[in-house]
Amino acid sequence: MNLSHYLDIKLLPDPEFSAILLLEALYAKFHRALVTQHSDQIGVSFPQYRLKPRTLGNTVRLHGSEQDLLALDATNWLTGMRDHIHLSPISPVPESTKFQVFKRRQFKTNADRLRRRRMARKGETYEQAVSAIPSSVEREPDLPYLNLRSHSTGQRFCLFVELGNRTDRPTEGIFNCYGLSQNATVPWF
Amino acid sequence: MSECPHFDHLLVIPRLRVQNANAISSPQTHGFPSMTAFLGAMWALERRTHEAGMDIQFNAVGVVCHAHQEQSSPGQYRNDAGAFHQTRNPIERDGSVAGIVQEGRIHLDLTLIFAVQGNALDAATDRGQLLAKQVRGHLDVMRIAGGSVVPANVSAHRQMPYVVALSGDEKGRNAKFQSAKLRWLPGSALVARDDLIAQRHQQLQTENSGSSRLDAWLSLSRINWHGDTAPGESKDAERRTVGWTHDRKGAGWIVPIPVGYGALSDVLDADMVANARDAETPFCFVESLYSMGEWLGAHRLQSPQQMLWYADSQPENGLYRCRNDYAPPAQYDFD
Amino acid sequence: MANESLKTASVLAFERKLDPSDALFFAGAWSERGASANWKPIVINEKSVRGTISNRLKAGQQDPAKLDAAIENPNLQTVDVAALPADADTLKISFTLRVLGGTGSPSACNGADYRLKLLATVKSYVDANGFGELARRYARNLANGRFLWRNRIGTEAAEVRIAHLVDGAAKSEWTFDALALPLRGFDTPTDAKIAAGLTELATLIGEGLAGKQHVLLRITAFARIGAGQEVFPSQELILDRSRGDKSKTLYQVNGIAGIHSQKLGNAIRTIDTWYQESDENGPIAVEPYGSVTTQGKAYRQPRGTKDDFYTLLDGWVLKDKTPEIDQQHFVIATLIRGGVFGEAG
Repeated sequence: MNLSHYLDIKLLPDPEFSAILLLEALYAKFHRALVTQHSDQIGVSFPQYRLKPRTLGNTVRLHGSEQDLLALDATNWLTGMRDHIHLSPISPVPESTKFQVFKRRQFKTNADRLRRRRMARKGETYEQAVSAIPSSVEREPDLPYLNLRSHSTGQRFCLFVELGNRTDRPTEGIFNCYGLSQNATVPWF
Repeated sequence: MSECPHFDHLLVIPRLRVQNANAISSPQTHGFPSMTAFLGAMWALERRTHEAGMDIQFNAVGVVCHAHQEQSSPGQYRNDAGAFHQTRNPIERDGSVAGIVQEGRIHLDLTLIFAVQGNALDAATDRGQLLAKQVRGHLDVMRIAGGSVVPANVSAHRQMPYVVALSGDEKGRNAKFQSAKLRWLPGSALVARDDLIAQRHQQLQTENSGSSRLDAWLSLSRINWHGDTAPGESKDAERRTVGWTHDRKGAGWIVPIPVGYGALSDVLDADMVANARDAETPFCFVESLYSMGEWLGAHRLQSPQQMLWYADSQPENGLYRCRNDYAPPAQYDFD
Repeated sequence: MANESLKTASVLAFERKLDPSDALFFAGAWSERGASANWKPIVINEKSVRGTISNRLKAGQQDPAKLDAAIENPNLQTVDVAALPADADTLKISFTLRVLGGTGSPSACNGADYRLKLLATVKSYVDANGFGELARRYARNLANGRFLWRNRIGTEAAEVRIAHLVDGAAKSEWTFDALALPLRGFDTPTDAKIAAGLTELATLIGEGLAGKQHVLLRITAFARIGAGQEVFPSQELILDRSRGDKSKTLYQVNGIAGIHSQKLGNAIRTIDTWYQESDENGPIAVEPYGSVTTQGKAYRQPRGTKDDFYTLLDGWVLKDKTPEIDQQHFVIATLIRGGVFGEAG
């Protein structure tokens, strides 16, 4: 794996559309491009990622080999977004950076949904399901997220993004079709 | 009592689409613009055409409504007026949301029928066609009841304006009208039903001698449900429920409407009242006058007068109202 | 000549001079744009969505039947949605735009002297500049499909066809690749053919504004956003919703999804690049205080930047302080926008 290069996509401030709406639209296109390309070699980072206040910021950084980034660019996946972004040239990553994991987290945000599933699966009563799945399992995550629409089911869902380990040495691995990974690092600078 | 002014021609502007017209016709009524708005549009049109050198006198106006879409959401209950959809207005300069003055809007598909006369129209018929087209051109860039005239989604042929010459005697005129009205279907025309108020007033007074004409108007404006005999009084011993009936059955499409203005002050000279619209027109404070109207299928109209509305201003009595000469077919009471 | 006693009329109103109809939504295939008259209307559907998290049962709800019902039906909200069908990849929206003459002539004004001075001021602008610069920008906002709003974001391709209608028929027609015309600026495109089309359209709009001819345009836009994708009609603003009411109502005209005429007008007049933060923020819609609702911000402030409509207009009309040419464009564009600008109330 080679994450030697990167490019920054910065969302321009827009009088009509919020940064998060534009980021979600951008990410939907990015996801579709990765799926079409069958790529697991491009990772993302959010240089302005913050927990307080929680935000992914207005910049998405794509990491990959120069060749992979050029190939992605050649698909013109940014069509329709170009009026809303500033695109940096593809550049080599600076020397001596840290390395950072950006991972997807899934949460049990709705205890009743889980209970209903359990009732259907195990034939339990509601009371039994409640004792097995107390309301305390519900988490209202405080992570930044994107509200996306599933390509396969059309349902909306939240993609929560969590910072994993930050290390001095890179960990290799593959990235999912959102550019995130449970273990693979991206250069952090 | 006044009656519809004389006219020789009907100038018909078919299938106008009016977008975002004012749906609130008075402080008490909504659902269709006030007829005063159409009289106002007629006078504005007369001024415009006159300026353009056209010798046409506009005497009365009839409105056939083909479709309407009030911009509102229904409320929770039947007959609940619900809520008007509002427009998002620009924020204030400090970034705060501007207070919303609630508006009610409606989209309309209309045919306007103007009762006109003038030398220009007495010439050959093809000239009438040309004039009608010019008039339509003026209307296109005007506001009607505050709404914009936008192209309608019907063929150009069906939007073509035309003139109906009502020559000959009463019989001949009405024959011409009978064929003209069929072109306005499907559609309904608003006619005045002042008579219903007197009728309902009389009825109410038999129950309560203190009833006023306002009571009659309010009573006509709603659907009144009545329980029939209580179970105990019924001959049918088995029956345990009260039957409910309302007073709208067979009454037609009856609506409360504003019909003009009544003076609340003397007529003041121009420029005497601060913040009036202009400094050239005399000014009078007024309130709305109310009556009843009925939406009547265009095919049921017997004469043009039945659908035409005209101004009846009596400044000496403080009355500025519009009138319509519809008289309901006589109903014989054989009891 | 400055007239010391001249005052702004307390009642001063202008009708809008760019008057769009509502836009309606249709669906079809990108390859069949040429025969789009028969495309199917996009209807709005209601959908129930589960409210998030906050659907715990209340302690008192112990009746098993009620509990079951509550589980089956947890905190459901109804919202409107609209989407392309599975067999259509392209959204078509169409509307008409009427261009009216008479800019600067108030529909209501109660100061005769003020009215004359105002008309003279607008005339001086038109004599010197015509409506060229403004018309050029309005034409650009039609050709670039800005009025598609959210439906333009991320679209794979977008085309705008504009016809000049005379007696119901197209007298001339232009076709633009909307994505080839960036939203951020109004520079003349380098492609000579596109530039020529824009110039012709701008000339026509300018003639309409000048009252030289009656101009009615039919605008048809195609956006290829992908089969089954969500589309974005206008949302209705309903105050005082009661409990259980739909939480999102989309605009429809006789059952067809649509965009409000007001929102189209807003896109067409998004030409103000003459305010102070425009380099960063891009063009904003012409509004008296340069206000942008979504940002909750007004960029033209009477006390701060002193470049709001009222300050500029009063200076120009009452004090003969002719603003810089860019601000003159802004003032005239605000008159074209229309509105009630009097000092009463």
